[in-house]
Amino acid sequence: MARRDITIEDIEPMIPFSRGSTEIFLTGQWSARKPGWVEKTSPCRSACPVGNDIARAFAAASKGRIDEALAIFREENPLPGVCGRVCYHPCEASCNRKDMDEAINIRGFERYLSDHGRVAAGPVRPVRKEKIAVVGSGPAGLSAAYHLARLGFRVTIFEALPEAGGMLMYGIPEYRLPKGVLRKEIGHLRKLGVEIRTGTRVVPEGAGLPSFSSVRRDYQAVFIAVGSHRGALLGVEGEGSSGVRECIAFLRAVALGEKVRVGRRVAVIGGGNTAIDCARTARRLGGNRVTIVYRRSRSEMPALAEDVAAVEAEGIGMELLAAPARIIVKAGRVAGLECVRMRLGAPDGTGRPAPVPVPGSEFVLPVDTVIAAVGQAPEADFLASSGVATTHRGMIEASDTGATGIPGVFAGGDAAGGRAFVADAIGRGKMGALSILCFLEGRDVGAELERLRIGSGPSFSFQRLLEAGRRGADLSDIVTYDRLNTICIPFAKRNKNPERLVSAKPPTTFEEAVKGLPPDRMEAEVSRCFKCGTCTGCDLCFLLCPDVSIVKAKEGGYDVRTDYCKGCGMCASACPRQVIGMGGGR
Amino acid sequence: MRQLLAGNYAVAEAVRLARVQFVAAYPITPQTPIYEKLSDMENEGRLAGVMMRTESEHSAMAACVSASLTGVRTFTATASQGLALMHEMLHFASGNRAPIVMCNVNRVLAVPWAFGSDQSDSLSQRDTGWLQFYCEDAQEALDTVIQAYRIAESSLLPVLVAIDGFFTSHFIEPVEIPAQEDVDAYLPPFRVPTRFDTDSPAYISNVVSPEQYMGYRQRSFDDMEGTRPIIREANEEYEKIMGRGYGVIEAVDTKGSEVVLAASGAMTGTARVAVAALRARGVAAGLLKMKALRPFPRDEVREALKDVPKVAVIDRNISLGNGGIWCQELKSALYGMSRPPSVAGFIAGICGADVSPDMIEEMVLSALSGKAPLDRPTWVRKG
Amino acid sequence: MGKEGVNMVETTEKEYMRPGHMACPGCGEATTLRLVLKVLGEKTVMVILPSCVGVISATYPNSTFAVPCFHSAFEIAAPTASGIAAALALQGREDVTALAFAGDGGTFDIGLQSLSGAADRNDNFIYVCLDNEAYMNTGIQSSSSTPQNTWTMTTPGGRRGRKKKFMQIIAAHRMPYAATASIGHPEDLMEKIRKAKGIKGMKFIHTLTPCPTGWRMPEHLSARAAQLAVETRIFPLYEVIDGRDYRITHEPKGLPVDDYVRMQGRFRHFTPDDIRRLQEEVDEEWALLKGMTKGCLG
Repeated sequence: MARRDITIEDIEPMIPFSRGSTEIFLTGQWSARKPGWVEKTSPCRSACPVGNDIARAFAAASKGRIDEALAIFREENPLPGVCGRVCYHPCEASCNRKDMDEAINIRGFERYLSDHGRVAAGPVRPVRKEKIAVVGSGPAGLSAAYHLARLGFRVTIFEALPEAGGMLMYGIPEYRLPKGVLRKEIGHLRKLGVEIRTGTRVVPEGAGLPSFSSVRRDYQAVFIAVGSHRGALLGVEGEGSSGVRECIAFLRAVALGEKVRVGRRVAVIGGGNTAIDCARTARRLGGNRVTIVYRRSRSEMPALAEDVAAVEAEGIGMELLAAPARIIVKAGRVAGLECVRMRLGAPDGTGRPAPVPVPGSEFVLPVDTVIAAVGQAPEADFLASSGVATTHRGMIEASDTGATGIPGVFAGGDAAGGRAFVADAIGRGKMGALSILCFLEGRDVGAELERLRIGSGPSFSFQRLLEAGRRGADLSDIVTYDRLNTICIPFAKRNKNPERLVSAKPPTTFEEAVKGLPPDRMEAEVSRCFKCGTCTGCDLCFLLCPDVSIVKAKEGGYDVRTDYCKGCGMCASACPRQVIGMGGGR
Repeated sequence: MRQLLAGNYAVAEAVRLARVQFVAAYPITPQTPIYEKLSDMENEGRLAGVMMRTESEHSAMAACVSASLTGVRTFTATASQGLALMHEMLHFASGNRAPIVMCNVNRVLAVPWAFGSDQSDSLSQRDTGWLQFYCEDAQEALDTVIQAYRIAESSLLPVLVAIDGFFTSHFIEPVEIPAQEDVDAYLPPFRVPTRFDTDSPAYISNVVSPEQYMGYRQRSFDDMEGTRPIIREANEEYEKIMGRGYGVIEAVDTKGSEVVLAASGAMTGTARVAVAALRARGVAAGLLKMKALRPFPRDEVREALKDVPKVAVIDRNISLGNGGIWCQELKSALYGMSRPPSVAGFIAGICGADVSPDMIEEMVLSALSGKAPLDRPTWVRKG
Repeated sequence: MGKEGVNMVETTEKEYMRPGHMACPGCGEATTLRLVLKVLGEKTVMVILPSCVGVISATYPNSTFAVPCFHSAFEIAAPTASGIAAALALQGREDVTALAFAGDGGTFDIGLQSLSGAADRNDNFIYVCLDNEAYMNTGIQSSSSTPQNTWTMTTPGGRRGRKKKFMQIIAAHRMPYAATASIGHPEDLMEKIRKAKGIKGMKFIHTLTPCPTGWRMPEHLSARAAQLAVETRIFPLYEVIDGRDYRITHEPKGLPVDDYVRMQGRFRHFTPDDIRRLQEEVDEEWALLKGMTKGCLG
C-alpha cells in the first residue's frame, strides 16, 4: 500500500483547528458608551489673568520642546520673561498638584522658558489698513500692541520716557527684573513690526504735539495705558523737606542710572509692592537701617508674601500698625518720623479693616530719609478735554472690556484701576486689542468673549481668536483635582528657584536676587506637573484597552473602534489628565 | 544482533532504534529500568533526542502531548498508579490526535498495595481512545514498539504497548535486536506537520458545540476503525524486513478444537505449555493469543472461533461488578454469531499470583466439561 | 484584518490579539494577554487553559489570537509549555517563544505541582500567571490566591487563609527571572516581558489582573484598582533574579490601603479593624521585601 505523508489539511478536520478571527463579533454593540478625547482647561490657565495655556506648555516641555513651550506662552503673553520673575502667580494658588503635595513652580517654569527658549518671531505683515495708537509702553500697552500686531494691524506706541517698559523698566528694580530681560522681550515686539516712539509724550491740548486729539485724528483706534506714575503724597507736616522722596520718582531715578543717595536710616511708608521695592532698593543703596512703616497688619499688606519674606531676609525692619503723623525736620533735613500706633477697626470700602489711630501712642522713628509709597494715580492731564471720564481717585473710567465713553478709545492697566499686578495689566491690554478689533469690525465683543473666555474669567484666549478654525481644548471645562487620576504619580517636593539673599550680610548689589532653575530641577518640576486636561500622548489609554479598541491614529492622537469598544470606561477612568470622557449613555 | 535482555531493556532498545526525539517520564516500579536505560543512552549520546524528567506521570503525558503536537516523535513509559494518574491525559492525547507511543508495564493497582503483574491498569484505560497491544515476551515488546510508531504516525492515534510487570519486564531472554538501517527503512523520520505554525497560526483544540464534539468523536472512531488495515500492513512490512511478525491475534490449533483457551501477555507462554500438554493427552484444545485490545479484533476472533463449541478465557484482571475484561470483550465480539461458543471466564494471576500449567489445564477442562459457570467468573488461586 | 464596513481606524501599531473577544468589559486579563503578545510578536506559541482565557479566546472556528495557540488542560500549563519548548529546540526553531498563561487557580493550586516540576527543570518558556484572586470563570470561588477575609461565593463569610506568597515559592526554585507586574503600570509590565524574552530558561511573571465581576466593582475601575494595589504596596512591583537578587522596579507611594478596600464590593464587609490589620500586614511584608533587596545588585 503506497503511503503518502500526512499534510496539515489532513489533520485539520481531526481536531478543532480555528483559523477564524473574533473580529466577526462586533462587541461594540454591547454598549452605547464610547470614549471621546476632548482636551479641557487646567485650573492654572483659568486663574491666570493672561490666560496662558500652561498645561500645554508643560506638555511640550516634557518632551524636551522648550522652544515650542515658550511659543505656547507667547500665544497669549508677550512678556513671559517678565512674568516669570515678578508675577504674583495666581496659577500656583489654583494648581491641582497642591491637593496632592505642593503646587507646581509655574512661575519658575515661565522664566525658564524665556531664559532658555528661542523666539521665532518674525515681522507680521500688516494686512489691515487701520492704524492703532497705544499710549504707554508698560505691560498693558505692550500687550495690546503685541496682539494687535498679530492681528495684522499697524501699531504705534507713544512712550513718554526714554525707554519702553513703563513700570517694568522704571518701577521694578533690577534685582527683581533685570533690564536686559525686558529689553529683549520688547525687542521681539519691535521685530513683529510694532513701532515704539520713546521720548514722545502725548501732551495736553494746546501744549504741542502729539496731543490726544491729534492721535485720535491719525489713528483709527486708541488704547490708553499710561499706568499710574504719579505718586500720592503723605499729607503730613514736613513732607516737602529734603530727604523725603516720592516712590515713583525714587525708583525711576535709580532705573535711569542716576546717582541716588539715601541716608543711613530710611523709613518707607506703605505696604504694597512699590513700598517693598523702595525698601529693598534703599537697602542696596547703603541704607543701614531700613524700616517699612505700614498702617495695617502684616496679613493686610497688599505686597506678595514672598516679597515680605525677602524684606525680612534682607534685614529690613517693619513697623506694622503704625502711620506717619509728621516728619521731624532739623536744619531743613529729615531728622525723624513721628508715628502713631494704629489698631484695626471696622472694614472700609475695600473690605479690609480700617486702621484707627490709638490716641497718645505717638513714637518717633529716628530716620534721615522718608520714602512715600502710599498710592499711585495716572498722569492723565492729556485727557482733560477729551471727554474721557476719570474717577474721583483719578483713574480712567473703563468697562470690563476696556471701553471708555468715547467710541474707538479704550483704556486698561493701572491707569484704568483694578488689580495692579503686571499679569492683570497684560490681560487688560489683550482685552483692549479684542475690543478694538470688534470696534473696527462692528462685532459684539461680549459675544466674542463668550467663545473665547477661559472658565469664568478673568482671561480669554487670544490664540483661539487667531486660529478660529482649529479645534482646541474646551475652554469652559476646568479640570478639578477630583477628576484626575493621580494614583500612580509619585510624591515629589516642589523645585524652588534658588535664592541669593538668604545670608546674614546685607545685599549691596542689584544682582538678580532669585536665580533660574537649573535644567535638571526644571525637568523634575516639569514632570511633576499633571498637565491637567491636555493629552500628552502617554499611551496609557491605548495600552490599557482590553478590547484592542483604541488606536493610535496615523495623524496623531487616539481614536476608538466603535465596532468593538464595549464602553467599559477603563480608559477614561485611568487617564491621569481627564482628557477622556465617556458619552453615549448606557 | 542477539542479546540477552530483560523486557524493559528491549523496550529501551526499540525506543532508541525508532529514533525517538522526546521522552518524558516518571519512575515507578516495574518501569524504572526503561527510564534508567534511556537516561544512560541520553547520557552516552545514543538517544536521538532529549529526556524530560517530570515530577509526575500526569505531567509526563502532558509534555508528550504538546511535544508531539509541536512535531517530534515522543515516548513515555509507566505502570499501575502512574497510568491511573495519567488517565485524564490519555483522553487528552487521543482527543488531540497525538501519535504518542507508551509502554505500560502492567502492575496491580492499589489498594491493597502490591507490585505484581496485573492487567487491570491498562485494561481499565481501554475507553481512552488509545490503541492497545499486549506482548508475550521481550522480543515481541521490542518489535511492537517499533511497529507502534508506524501505526501511530499513520493514523494520528496514540498507541499503548503493554508488557507484564516482572514476568516480561525483568526476566532476561534472548532478543534479536534489529539493525538501525533496517529500522530506518521501516520507519522514516517523524514527518507529521506541526500544529503550531507561526507562519499560519491557528488555535488548536478550543471549545466546540455539542454537535461539533460528536462529529470529532465520530471522526476519531472512524479513524480507529481505519487502523485495522494500517496495523495489518505495518505488521506485514515488518515481517518482510525483520523476518518476524505478529497478528492482532494468534490462533494455535483452534481449527477443529473442542475448547479454545484465550490468554494474553506473559500468561500466553504458560498457556502454550498447558494446551500442548492437553493435546498430548488427547484433549482437542486450542489456544487463542489475544494481542490487540483496541481496536478489538472482532472479525479475526469470530473467524478463529467460528466452529469452536467452548472457550475458556483467562483474565489477569477483574472489573468489579462484571468479570474479567478480556472475557467481556470476547463475549461482546462473539454476540450475534449464529452459533457462538459458550464462554467461561477465569480470574487467575491477579497481582502476579502464580499460575502453573496444571492450573491452566484444570481451567480448560472445567470449561470443556461444562462445569465452569458461564454467567460469572471463576476465581483460581493456589492455596 | 478587518472586513468591509467595519470601523477600522488607521493605526500605526501591530497587535497580536484581535478585538471582538468575549471578555467582560473592563477585564484585566484581556489587557495583559494583549500587552504580552504585543511585546512577544508573531514568533510565539502560546498555551492557555480552561479559565476565563478559555472563554475570552472564543470557540471553534474563531480565535482572538494571531499566534498559534493550544487549549491545554487545567493543571498543565507548565508541562505543556515544557513539551513545546523542548520540541521547538529539537526542531531548531529557537527563535520561537513558548508562552503559557494560567490563572491563579491553575498556578497556586491545581497547577502548582507541575509548575514546580518545570521550574526545577528550568524549561525554556515564559509563564504568565493572570491573578484575579479567585476562580472567576467558574463563578467566583476562592483559591489560595484569594486574600484573607475576602468574600467569594465559597467563602461568603470571608476567606480564613492568607494569600500564598507565591513569589517566594518561585524564588525558591531559583528561576533565572521572575517578576510581578500590574496592568496599571503597563510599561513596566511590557519591559518585563521584553526582558524575559531575552533570557533562556524559565521565566515567571505574576500579574495582578483585576476582575470587575469578581471583585464587585464598576467595570471602569480595573485600571485604578491595579494601580492602587501597587501604590498601596499590597502588590509591589519587583523582580527576582536567580531566586536571589531582589530588585524593586517601581517605588510605590505607600498610599493607605483604605482606598483600595473601599473600591471593591468583595471587601465591603471589612471593619475598621480588618483594614487596620490589612495595613499592618502590608507594611510588614513591604519591610520584609525591602530587607531582601539589601545587598542585591541594583
